[in-house]
Amino acid sequence: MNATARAGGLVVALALACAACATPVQAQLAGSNLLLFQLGNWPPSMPDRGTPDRESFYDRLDVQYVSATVLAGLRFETDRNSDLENEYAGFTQRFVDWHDATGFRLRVGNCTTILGRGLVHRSFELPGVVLEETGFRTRFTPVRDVDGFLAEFERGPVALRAIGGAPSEGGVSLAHEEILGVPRHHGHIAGGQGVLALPRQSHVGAIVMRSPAGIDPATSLPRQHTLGSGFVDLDPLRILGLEGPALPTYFEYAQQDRTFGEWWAFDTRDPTPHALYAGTNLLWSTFTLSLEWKDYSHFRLGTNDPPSLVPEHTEVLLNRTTHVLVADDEEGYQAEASWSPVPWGSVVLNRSRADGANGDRYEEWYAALRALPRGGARVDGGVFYDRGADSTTGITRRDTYGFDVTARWRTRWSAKLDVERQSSERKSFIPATLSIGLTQFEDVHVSLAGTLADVGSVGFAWDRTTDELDPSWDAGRTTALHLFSWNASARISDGNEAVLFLGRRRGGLACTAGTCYFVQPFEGFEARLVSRF
Amino acid sequence: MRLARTGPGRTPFVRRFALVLAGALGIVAHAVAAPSLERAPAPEFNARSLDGRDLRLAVLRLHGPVIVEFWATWCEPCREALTELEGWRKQYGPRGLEIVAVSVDGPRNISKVRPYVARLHLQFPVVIDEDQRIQKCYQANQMPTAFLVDRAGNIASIRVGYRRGDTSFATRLESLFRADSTAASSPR
Repeated sequence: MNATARAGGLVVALALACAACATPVQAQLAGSNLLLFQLGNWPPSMPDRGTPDRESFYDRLDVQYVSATVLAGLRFETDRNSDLENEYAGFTQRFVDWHDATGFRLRVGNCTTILGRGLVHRSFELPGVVLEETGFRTRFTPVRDVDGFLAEFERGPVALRAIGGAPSEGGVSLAHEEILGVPRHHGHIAGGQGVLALPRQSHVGAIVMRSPAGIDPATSLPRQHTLGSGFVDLDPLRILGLEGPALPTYFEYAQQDRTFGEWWAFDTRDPTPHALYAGTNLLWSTFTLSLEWKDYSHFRLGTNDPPSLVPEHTEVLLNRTTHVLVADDEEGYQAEASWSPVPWGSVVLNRSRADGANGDRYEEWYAALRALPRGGARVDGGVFYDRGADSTTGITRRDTYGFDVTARWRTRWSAKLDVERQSSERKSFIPATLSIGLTQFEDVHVSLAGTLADVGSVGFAWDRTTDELDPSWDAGRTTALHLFSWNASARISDGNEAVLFLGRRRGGLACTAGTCYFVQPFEGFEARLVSRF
Repeated sequence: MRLARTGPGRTPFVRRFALVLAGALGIVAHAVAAPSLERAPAPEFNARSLDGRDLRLAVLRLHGPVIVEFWATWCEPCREALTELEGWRKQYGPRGLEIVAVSVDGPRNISKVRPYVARLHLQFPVVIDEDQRIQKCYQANQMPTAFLVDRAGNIASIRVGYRRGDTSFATRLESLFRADSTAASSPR
């Protein structure tokens, strides 16, 4: 964080302290804290892991002053470890946000927002997620934000929003600034959107954004792209006055460095930089059908987040094999139908496909059945089956299936069993034959957890894999890798909860709120204390 | 890359720590006169529900207690929590309970929210918090998280996560209704 930002943090801190002393009745200081302690380390298969009994703690403290018109906040983060490796401590977020009754709102400091559906701009945070970098080992809370301002105004049918400042891709910790001198926020963006509300809940909007485009080799000065987007949000059935079924529909088309007149051509030829997203839902009684289409070309801006049209599964093995959108070149669709013919059961069917550059293709079929007899008073559960392939990761075939069941008794007791199996085939380099070939591997996940409401839970998980690319796979291993772990959670008091982990945690991809990231494997003991005050 | 804890980077940490300590002291000093987050004023918000209703917390709480539930389609425990809330809507709705379910699904899953709501037969208003504004005001970092707001606009209880059979939140809701009926029946 540079000197200006530090000064800003100081000002907000002092303002919070002063506000604490002068808080009127309808205002409050509120905070939350996450303390993460680890004793252990990455598995021996990971390079540069250091001592096996590494001890570390990460802490994130959020303090907010909340009143009827003002919201001010600070975030303090620190990462410390016994290897004395890449440690840091400091303010990573500070902002002041105020609004009035006229519909005007202004926020200064760290800001996040979304324009349209995120084709042109989306800044966001992944609450509750703590990432750990591999090369420059350090932990942090990922926040893709803008260090600048956010202004909003709404009156009648018109809503305006503007944002500007230095963006961050959210991929590094404060240690990069403190130790390497590399700022987390760099470059400059400025833009906004206007939305006009029309009758029958229809909206039209336009977005303009200026974003970094690298360095001009001729002048050695930063260049800016100009991005333009237009969208429409309507329900044709509502417009026609039909009651009962609904058909909410959204369409957005964005382009880069083109004129307003060219926008209307909806040019989707490659390599013209463009992003097109269209989505609709048919809602009819207990039947719903969701259809989405995407066409992105050269639209990975670093400050945007277009819809990926890839299902985000809650099933453990499917979540860690989610396709990651390639906004540089991807075109595809997602269709999902769900039906609840009876109050105690539902079925979901999903079909997704995306075609990218060089013939890359991702596709997936998914089906799930869920049953909730008698409102789930005694038992509920579900089964699923998924077949997919993703050539961006070399996966030529992937079959996943499993079930979960939850049983309840004596009102407060419950137990949940989750069983999943995945068999995959991957095209990769085979060292034994020095050639590209197909390898098969298998993953199994079993977890069992018991919960006593009001008190806490205890769980056990077993993962088995024969995937030689797993981060925990040690060189020379010829048998399956087994990872066992125990976890427990307990409510210590109102506002304080502890989560404990003991054993071996599997590393790899994980996806939360539509964003995927890499989770480091871990072996040892971990304690997580979440507090609110 | 490994760097020792001592050295030029050490002093700023001490300074920052002192700064945080100073801020914390301010909070502690204030805490003598102010309650904790529970019983604190609930951050005001206005939002538009999926069915086009304009929702303002200040207006909703005029009818009775309000539950603000943060959830997402990708969150498995949220399904149970929302199902329970629908039951509470039927049970306590006639007594004035208002429920607002705030979806924190990102752009990837916005198209899933309406079908999800339809599949669970939810009748209370659902809001999509596209820019995470409401979520940040309430510091809802875990899904699901529920806030119970009383008629005065203060947070009466917070439920982080969901465990079926956990009675503390429902008990607090019942106590709010009892307090309301006591206040209504007491002579002015």
